[in-house]
Amino acid sequence: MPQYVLYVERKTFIHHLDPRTKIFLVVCVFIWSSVFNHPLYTGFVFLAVLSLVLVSRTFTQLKLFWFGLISLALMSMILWPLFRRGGTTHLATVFGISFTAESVMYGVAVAFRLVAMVLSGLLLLTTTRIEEIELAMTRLGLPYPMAFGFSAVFRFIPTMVGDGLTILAAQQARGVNVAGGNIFSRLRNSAAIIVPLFITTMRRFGDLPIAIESRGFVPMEKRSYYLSIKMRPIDFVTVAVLAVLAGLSIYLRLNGYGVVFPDVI
Amino acid sequence: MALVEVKDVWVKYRGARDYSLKGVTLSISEGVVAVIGPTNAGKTTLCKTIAGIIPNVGAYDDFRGEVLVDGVSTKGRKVGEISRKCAMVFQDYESQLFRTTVELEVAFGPENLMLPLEDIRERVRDAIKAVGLENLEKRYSFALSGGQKQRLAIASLLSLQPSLLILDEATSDLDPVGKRAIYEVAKNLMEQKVIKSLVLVDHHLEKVAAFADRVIVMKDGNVIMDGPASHVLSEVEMLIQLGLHPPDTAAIYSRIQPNSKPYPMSLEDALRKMPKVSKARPPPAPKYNEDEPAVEVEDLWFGYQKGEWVIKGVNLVVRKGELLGLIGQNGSGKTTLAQLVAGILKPIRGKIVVFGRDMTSYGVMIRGRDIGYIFQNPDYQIFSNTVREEIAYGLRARGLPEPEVEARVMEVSNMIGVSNILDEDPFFLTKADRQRVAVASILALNPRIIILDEPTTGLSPGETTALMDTVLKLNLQGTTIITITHDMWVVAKYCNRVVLMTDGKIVADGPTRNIFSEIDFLAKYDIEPPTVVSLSKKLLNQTYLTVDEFLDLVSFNNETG
Repeated sequence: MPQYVLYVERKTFIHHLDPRTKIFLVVCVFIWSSVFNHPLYTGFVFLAVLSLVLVSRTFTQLKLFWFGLISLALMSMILWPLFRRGGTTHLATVFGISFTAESVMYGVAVAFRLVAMVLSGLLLLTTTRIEEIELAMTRLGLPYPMAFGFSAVFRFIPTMVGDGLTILAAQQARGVNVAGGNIFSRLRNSAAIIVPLFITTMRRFGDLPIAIESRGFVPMEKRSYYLSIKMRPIDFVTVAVLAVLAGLSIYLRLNGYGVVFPDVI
Repeated sequence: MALVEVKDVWVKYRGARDYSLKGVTLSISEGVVAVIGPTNAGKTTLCKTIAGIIPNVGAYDDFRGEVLVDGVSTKGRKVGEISRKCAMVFQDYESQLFRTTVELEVAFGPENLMLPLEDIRERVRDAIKAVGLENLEKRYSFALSGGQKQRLAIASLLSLQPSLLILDEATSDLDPVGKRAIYEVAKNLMEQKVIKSLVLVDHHLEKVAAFADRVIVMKDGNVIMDGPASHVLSEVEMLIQLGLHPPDTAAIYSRIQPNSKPYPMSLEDALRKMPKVSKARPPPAPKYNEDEPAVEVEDLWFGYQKGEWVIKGVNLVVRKGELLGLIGQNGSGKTTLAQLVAGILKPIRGKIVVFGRDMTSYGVMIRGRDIGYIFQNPDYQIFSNTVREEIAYGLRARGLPEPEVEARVMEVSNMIGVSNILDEDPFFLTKADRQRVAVASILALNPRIIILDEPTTGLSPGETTALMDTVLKLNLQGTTIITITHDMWVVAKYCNRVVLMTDGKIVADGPTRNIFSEIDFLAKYDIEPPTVVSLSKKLLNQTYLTVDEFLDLVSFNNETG
């Protein structure tokens, strides 16, 4: 069976950061990429995140995602110029629809923004154990059951992918043609994959509360932790730098920098 | 004082037609207790009641009676508290694993006990050692083999340091090596007093005989017998009526010396007490199938990752009308080979010919017309609202006219025995029924070759026999069958040919009788033929595959029956 685990153990600066620092990094990426809508600025944020991915040596770990990320970027670049009207610099007219340079730039900016956001989340997941994120969330004040639920979702992704592939094979073996036919037979055929996957997943998650209680878990009771996380000086320095940069980005935006359309996000 | 006292407990699940437990009273002190019985006898319900899951989690129309653990009633208490004393490994043990790595999985329990880090470390170390998973601490739990996962589930409960451990059909999913390992682990836990008592549900009555002190027999929510293992397991007639598979030795002695209860339960004991044989006729000579080849596999190579071969140059010819048993440990490549034949996986090198046509480059959609593949887990296939639609689905997908679809559905459902549940929602059926529906929906397509991947996992021996009888019927009508299984008695009873795989290669291939007579050779691959085979081999140097065959062909001086 191929495995679908994001986390990969490496000895890099990013891996050694406290998960709370990394969560804060994700928050900051969201802030930086949201306050600007100029492609140079969001492009810079995207490159910054990409270089962190390279520094953490997790690039190859994300090979499953590149196609999705590129599709996401292309969608944004095509759709935004259609819907975000405005701007004064006429660029071209296609099929009677005129495009402005501003709307195209905005589309590119949003593409960088979306990819940077998703990539920062993936960076967190490839460099941090799920249990460490869970622990960080409880330390940040989230109730344990919520943190546990969050980690459970990610824990079961590899299992679900495995289930999905087996179901696909099982249905194809009995003549379910997933890729062909008219729209109705396609819908019907995709149900042949989705329904068993849904039921299998529901059974798994439905059993989870009993499973965790069977392991000595009592809801809302205090518990201790096998893993330990600790904010070291380097974490505080990193958080400080990130916070300053976040503040700076907001300051820049308020002063009219890094925007194509000043009135929208 | 008994550790657990069950006092007149009645359980009715929400919406169920009948009670699952009907006034069960028993107590459990130190020792090993086995709970046996057919499907729906209430075994799992009893286990869950002891573990405090019932009545505290889930919905019930009625719960009456009382369960005392260490003298305290379980009712109204938290399962998490009770599990620290009575820990239960579920039948679906994978559902109990939810952390990423082995050590974190084992640590979850002690974390809940609010123990300091040093104590958690010690408990994790001890529990992992007790189940023999040392050096795998950092492994991802879902990357373990089935047997290792099972041991991990046990370790993750042992770290709570319970006094009672419940294993609910813990070994039904495992290969012979995995099964033995679990029993060895359990035995060590008892001997080293890690736990005081063990409750186990198991269909493998020879293992039960070797291991349990006491056996409880359940049927329809009642305890119908409770006593020392050798006494209970000597009630061969009753066990057979319940659809259970009595130990081979007990079955033989119940016929040749019915009054010698309790019967011998081990091979050694049976050999020692065996009366003088007056005559032993040889078994029929194995027939070699000379029919046309159904599947020809030539120099097949496959791997999921570069450089890691899972199938290493397999050559195999399966002839029309064969009922072939594909055996071997988990990870030996059985399922991979079967999926390559079915076209679910594509080989990296080699050739696959089906009924004379080179099908190597065709996928599962094309090969599916000739080859039906039945997966281990029926839930991977079932998605319709009614059994009828489920069976008809593949037929409609092939564009058959509706009257023909109807006729075919009726024909298949009669054969498989699901015609009485055609309008029910498969979601609410028992596992055995869902398995039957999955088989029926493949059968409806009328494949010339059927591949079954561990079809009998989780079924009781009675259900297994029913399913395999149907498979045999199809085989006699000319369908070629390849079945993967860990149940050697199923192979002995039904398969006319055995292929043994190890490490991606075929190491033995021949008529079942020839292969099973090589007991020492099989032992090298951790395959243990049924006890009756070893018995006949040691006693008479013959290979009788089943108890019935043994009794038919061997006569004794003092035979009474």
